Amino acid sequence: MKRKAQMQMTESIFVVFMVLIIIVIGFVVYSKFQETSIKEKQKLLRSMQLIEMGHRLSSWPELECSVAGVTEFVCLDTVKLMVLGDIINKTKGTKLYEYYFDLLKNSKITVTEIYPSNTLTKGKDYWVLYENPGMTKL
Amino acid sequence: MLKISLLNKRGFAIQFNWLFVLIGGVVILSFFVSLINNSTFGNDQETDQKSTEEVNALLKVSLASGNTQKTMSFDKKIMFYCDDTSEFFVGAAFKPARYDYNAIFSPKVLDSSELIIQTLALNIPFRAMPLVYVTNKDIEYVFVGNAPLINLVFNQMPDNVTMKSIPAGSIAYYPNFDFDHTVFILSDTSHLAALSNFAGTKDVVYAVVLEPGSANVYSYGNISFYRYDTPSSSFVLDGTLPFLGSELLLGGVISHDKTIYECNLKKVITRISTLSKLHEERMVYYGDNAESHCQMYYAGSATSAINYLEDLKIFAEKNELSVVNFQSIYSAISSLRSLNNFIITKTECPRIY
Repeated sequence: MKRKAQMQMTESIFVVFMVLIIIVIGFVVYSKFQETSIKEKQKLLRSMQLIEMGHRLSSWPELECSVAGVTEFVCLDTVKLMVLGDIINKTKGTKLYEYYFDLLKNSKITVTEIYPSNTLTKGKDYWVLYENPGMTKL
Repeated sequence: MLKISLLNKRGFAIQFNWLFVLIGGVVILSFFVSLINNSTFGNDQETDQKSTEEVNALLKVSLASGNTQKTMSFDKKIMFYCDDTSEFFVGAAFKPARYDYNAIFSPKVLDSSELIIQTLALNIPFRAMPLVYVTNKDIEYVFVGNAPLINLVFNQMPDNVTMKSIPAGSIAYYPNFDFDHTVFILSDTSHLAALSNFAGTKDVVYAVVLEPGSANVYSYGNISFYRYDTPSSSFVLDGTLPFLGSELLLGGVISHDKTIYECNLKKVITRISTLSKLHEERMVYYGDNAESHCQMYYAGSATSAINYLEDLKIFAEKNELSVVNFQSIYSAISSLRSLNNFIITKTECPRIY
């Protein structure tokens, strides 16, 4: 009688243990699936942020060109491009640099003129506005 | 007999089984209850998060466009925080939307069915940044008297805002229409009287007093923020801060909150300093590369643009929120504007901005 009761008890514990294992496996599979979905979402978000930043840059007062105070649509002032690029890239470590770093993060922003000139000459038809590749993990 | 049978081993085993079933049942039931609870709360949170993102997208569009106005249906509570970090969130959203580098003037809490958003460009005199104003129809703006500064702000208010104009001196008997906030805009503290129709209200009545920096100059001055203290039946001063131009004046009135206004004012000052430096460098380039008869307008002489931009930068970098400092900034802006107008109208040289 005593042995039978012990057997039943062991059986119950074993069943509970198995159920627990199944639940844990379920959670692991679910979290793996979620991880993949989150990574996909992150990728999408990054792409959206890039598009957003590009759109925002074109309307920055730092870069826009205006005629008699009226802003021209999607127009960049080349002198402003040159000056802003110099200011940002030569003031690393200052508050001014931090200001642009917070806005542009780890990125490289270049502007290239493709018509009429397309020689990729820095300062003429090619400008590096911001260059901060960030740290690469080893 | 029953008692005895319960105490033996068999009886104990039966009792243990029932106890086990009971505990197991409770655990399973509570698991499902918590699952339902979490899912309901999670859904609410997700909806609020989506609303936060929607408002954020809307504000970003407003920031990218010029002078615009929008009225949209929005039946949720929005909370704004502007201090070391600037953020807002809708209801129980888990992730706030940040606006650290944008100036958004709004009351701390907005809770109504319609949201009013207006954008104005701040020119100093070149375009510095867009200023966004957010309010709703449940905030009543009452303009007291017809002093020039009061009229200036009245004409700049967004179209769909709840506002009215009353004669100076009639504030004491102003009726309580049960708005979330009633904001009195005045030009003189002497009109700040005890209110007879707002007894028992808390954090409902506010006052903003606008004072010009000097007689007949309305481009800079001071804004004082007051809130009505019901127990003492008097307006209590929260603080006084300077303004520059009608756009910032409007920001003070729309937000009617010293903390929010101060935080945005600091962002504007930082922006002035950054852009002054940029334009200064542009003037150096123009001074070296423009036609020789034009170069004196940009650099090299005491009245050239570079000097005014340097002044602008120095006063902005001081980060001093005082009317004296703002007067100096205003003076540099005026000189720069005059010089630019002169270049445009009297010469064929490239304009400064």
